Amino acid sequence: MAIVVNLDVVMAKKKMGVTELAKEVDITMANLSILKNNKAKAVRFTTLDALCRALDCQPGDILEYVPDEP
Amino acid sequence: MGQERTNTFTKIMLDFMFYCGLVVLAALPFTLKLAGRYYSRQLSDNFISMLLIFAVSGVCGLMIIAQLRRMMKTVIEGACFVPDNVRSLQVMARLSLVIAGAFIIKLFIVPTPATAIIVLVFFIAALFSQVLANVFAEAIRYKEETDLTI
Repeated sequence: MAIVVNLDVVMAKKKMGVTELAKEVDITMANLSILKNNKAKAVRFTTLDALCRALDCQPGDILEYVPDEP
Repeated sequence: MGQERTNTFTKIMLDFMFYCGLVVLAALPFTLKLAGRYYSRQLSDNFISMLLIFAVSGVCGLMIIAQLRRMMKTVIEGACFVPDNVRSLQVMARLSLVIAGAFIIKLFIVPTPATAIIVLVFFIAALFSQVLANVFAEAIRYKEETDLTI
């Protein structure tokens, strides 16, 4: 997919675990895992807002556009 | 609770119809002979062709019920929005068309108003199943999208 979720990179930088982040963002571990493994089809603004607040980062730090190879 | 009862009732009815259908299909040569003797001579005059038409229709009918049983199982398990159910509905549409085709042939051998009605009913059933399969496929697509929206 063209949009890559770099959540694991940001989490590693901020030294935050999956359980802690799931608790702070108030989403299930399963949903966080879907997001982390680039399996999500869409991200709600509210989730993105909570993620940015919890990780103290910008949406651009979490999401990255990588063009598909032709 | 009410929904659970309806599901159980539907499942029991489908099981009953499936096993009764097996018995009816197995007894078809015998019952067709009896029908030819006591109901209509035309049936015994065209015994082989009638037997073939009814057997094909019977097998297709049983396969439709088998698909419905599979679908009902997924409903009871709480996971009915799966691609397998779309395939089941598509199979049911094709089987209904086969039955309609078999009875179109019967129209040329033993024409009766009931036969024409059966053709119409199964043709509509085929269309109904196909439309339902398309709707189901869209529903699955929406569900997957919703499930994967975090």
